[in-house]
Amino acid sequence: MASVDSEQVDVVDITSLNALAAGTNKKTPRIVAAGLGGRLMGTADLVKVTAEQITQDSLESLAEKDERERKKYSKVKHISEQPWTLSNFHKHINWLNMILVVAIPLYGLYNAVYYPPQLKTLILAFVLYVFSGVSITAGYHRLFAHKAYDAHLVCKLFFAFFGAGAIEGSIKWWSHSHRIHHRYTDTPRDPYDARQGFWFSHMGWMLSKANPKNRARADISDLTSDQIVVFQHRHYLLIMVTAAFIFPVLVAGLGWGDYWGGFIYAGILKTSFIQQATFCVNSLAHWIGVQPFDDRRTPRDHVITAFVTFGEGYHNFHHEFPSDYRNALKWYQYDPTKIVIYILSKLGLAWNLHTFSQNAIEQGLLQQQQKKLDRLKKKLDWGTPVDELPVWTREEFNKRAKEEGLIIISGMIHNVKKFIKEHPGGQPLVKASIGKDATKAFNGAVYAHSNAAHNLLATMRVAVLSEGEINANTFELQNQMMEKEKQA
Amino acid sequence: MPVQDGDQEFSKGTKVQKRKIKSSQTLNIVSTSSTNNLINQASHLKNKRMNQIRKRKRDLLKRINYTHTFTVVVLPLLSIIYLYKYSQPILPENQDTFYFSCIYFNFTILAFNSGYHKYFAHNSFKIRFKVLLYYFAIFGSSIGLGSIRWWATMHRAHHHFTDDTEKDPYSIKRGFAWAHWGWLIKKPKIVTFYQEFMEQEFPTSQKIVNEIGQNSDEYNRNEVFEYDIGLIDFLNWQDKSYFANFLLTTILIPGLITVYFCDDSLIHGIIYPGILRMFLCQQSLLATESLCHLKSIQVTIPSQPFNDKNSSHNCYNPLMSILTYGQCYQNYHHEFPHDYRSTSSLFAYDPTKWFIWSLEKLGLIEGLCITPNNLIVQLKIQQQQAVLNRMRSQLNWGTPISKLPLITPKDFKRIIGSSSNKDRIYIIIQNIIHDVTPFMEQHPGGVPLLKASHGKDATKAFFGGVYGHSTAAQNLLATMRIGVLDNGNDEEVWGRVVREEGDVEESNSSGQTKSYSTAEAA
Repeated sequence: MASVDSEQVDVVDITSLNALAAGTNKKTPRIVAAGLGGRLMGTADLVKVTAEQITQDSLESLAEKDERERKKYSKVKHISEQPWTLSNFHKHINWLNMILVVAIPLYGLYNAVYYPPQLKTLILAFVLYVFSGVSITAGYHRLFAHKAYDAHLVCKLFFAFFGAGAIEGSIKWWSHSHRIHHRYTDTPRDPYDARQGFWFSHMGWMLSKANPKNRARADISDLTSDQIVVFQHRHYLLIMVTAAFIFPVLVAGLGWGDYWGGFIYAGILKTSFIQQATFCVNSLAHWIGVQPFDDRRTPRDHVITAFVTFGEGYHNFHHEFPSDYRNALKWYQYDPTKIVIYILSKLGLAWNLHTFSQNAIEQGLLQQQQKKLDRLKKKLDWGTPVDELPVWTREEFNKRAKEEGLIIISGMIHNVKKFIKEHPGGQPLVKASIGKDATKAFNGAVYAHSNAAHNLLATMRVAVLSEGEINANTFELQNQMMEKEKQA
Repeated sequence: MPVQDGDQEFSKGTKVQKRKIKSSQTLNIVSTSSTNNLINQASHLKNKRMNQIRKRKRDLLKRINYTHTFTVVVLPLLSIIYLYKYSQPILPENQDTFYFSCIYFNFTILAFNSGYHKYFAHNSFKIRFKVLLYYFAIFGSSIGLGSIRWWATMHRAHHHFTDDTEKDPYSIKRGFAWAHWGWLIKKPKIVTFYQEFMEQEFPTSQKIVNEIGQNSDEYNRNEVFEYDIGLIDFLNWQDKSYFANFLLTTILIPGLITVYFCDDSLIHGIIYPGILRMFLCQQSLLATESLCHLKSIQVTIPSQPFNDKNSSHNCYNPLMSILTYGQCYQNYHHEFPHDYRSTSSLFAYDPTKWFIWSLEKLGLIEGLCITPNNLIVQLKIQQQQAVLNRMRSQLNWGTPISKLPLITPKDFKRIIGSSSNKDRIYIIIQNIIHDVTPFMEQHPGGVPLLKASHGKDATKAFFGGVYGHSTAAQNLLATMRIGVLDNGNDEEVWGRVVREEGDVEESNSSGQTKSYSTAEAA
């Protein structure tokens, strides 16, 4: 769309930008996960989308898109669009994920009932739980998906190995879907769309087959150029089995002869605990808590989520400032991942820690508070706005004033008849002012009324006087008048 | 100029000086350029001031308020010395005396709080039977804080001139000790001002009322005040018989009741339900004006939900609540003084409110003053808005659009093309040029996107074409503005100027152009 006219500035080509953002500008389109990996956690056809389609999508309305998709799929309905019945439920379910996320943990639980754990094994399980958990939060999430800091090779290897032990997919796949989640939060393209309910965002999205019409892509060229990420992705199954099962079995077996306990507790149960904790970020963090930064989307801040997920619970902040290495801002908020990263940076293993400026953070807080206040304001009676009041002439006012109990203050006519008895300064003062302009008396000559009194006055407006200055903000006027008097 | 010594010559000296000042003034008119006169005048003024200071020092003993010193300091001190000397406990040993002291404490402090404070000082309700007036007047004096006229005047002055070091009788700005006790012991400096204020608020005779009604302001020239003569006489009577009432209710009644009903000695009756009870009442009342205005107090969570322009605080601490007999919500009280409640909360500890409410239900009083909920919420919102505006003005919102330089597309292209700007990235969004170079590395969507948009208009891409950016992102963008693109399409830009900077003006409350703004903006 480059214009020839030198007087005009070029407009960016959105399609090519989208190609950049989705990483489809390369000659050989990259596939996130092929083969068994493609079926492992998502489906490979969910990422087969071109920049043109994305562009078209984001520029047209949802209704238009639905219409287009409906035409395309009018003949063949994808399984995810068909209702769940007894005859087709097995087609809905992603069986591989079912085995990994539900069947194996259940098997582990069943065995745990009949096989009481040894203390040493439990400690090993806990240590591995922390290792894998931190690998997911500090490694997969903040380092690889968000590039919140740069880390030493040792750190990356640690994260890649123990992260794989959590059985949540390779770094490449995990980061890709997480970037999509951030880019398309609360839209059909969001892989764990929180609007579809708690269970869908928790586990439902990976246990059922997704609709290919909600395809999306994100640019992960920085990850594909990282040797460790590529290696982990290529040999994911091997690394996963080693880190999740073989490693704990060997440690427990060779260490104190508890092969079976190592497998059950430090292997299966540890893994499923981490899985559930991570799923909680997608479900719980969009479900309970407060929204101090932005309430247009579902992410929320809550301390319970933080405790469950190694400090990823301050999700509203995280969605607003994704590439900040912190999740909790205040010292009293629970965010061990932040502390781990900070310590790594002091040890020289991590550097270039990204933080958003305090200014930007406070701006976000302030705008959200303002929004809440504005909503509250709308609910209250602030008196009729000046623009909507009828205009009276002086004669009309004089005619009706005594009868109806009218007073002029700041060019506006107020009906004070009902209020006379309630006036804290006594009835005579108000009665004496009926039919007159009491602007000065109200604004300090007799008594400088409080802000609350001015609010009350505003609710009594009935009309505007045709001549004279009008200042609807009478409290402001009073301050000005008193300021003048002070100077004089 | 010789400084006058000795007390006897003072009156003479001041007279002489006055005359001299006059003459120097006339001289001044005759010869304008004489510097001697100026020096003379200055030293006259200085002398006058020094004389005043000396006079004040000499008058120190005269300026002590002996009645209050007696009730607030001497009596409690004497009784504590007595207790110490005869090693008696601070609480009465006799159980009946103890119960009687508790009941009498509530009986008198309720008379003071609902009578002196809510009825006379704030007009929170109207009385239907005169008996209540006498209950308020007689048992209210047993606290020993002065007559109704004097105390209520001081209290109104406190509400009227809160935090004014001169006119507020117990201004916290003069220190904790002054706000707590000092103001009772020492007479105020501006005696005549308070006398006039008292005449205005609680006139001593009908004549003066009429005079005020005719002269004070033009609005009431033709109206005659209908001030209740009965009330004036009542206040006059209470003023005169205050000390007698005080002795009756603090010494005589508790003493007699203790002797005849509690089987205790007379001295115990005077000390426990009499003086120590009085001391406790005084402390709880004085604490509202000192502790609840003290910002640095750490035992509570001080907060100002309605107005932070004065020193009054709402003290959220159950201990403070009990200590001040439920009156620790001073911020609310200062904003809505006529409300018979001390806070709008239904569950707050507030015995005075319960007492007045039951009086109303019994039909003894009428016309309770209650602030509508709408008003309370409005004020809360306005206060929050004021706090937000203050926060907003402290943040960096980027250069205002109206202050940015206008740059033509040709110039812009030259800027891009120049070799010194090779590594920088300029992106146009909504006709405003942004220099995003320092932010480049932080961009969550990656650097390539920014590089691809260098020197181009990326409005559509920014607002959803590629990614619908968050408010935070838009704020960040605003801090990177460097200029406005002058391509003839300024209508849109000026529309934004009005929207953004109109807001700023409103928050700075210099709303000359916004005369039509509603009360919300306050």
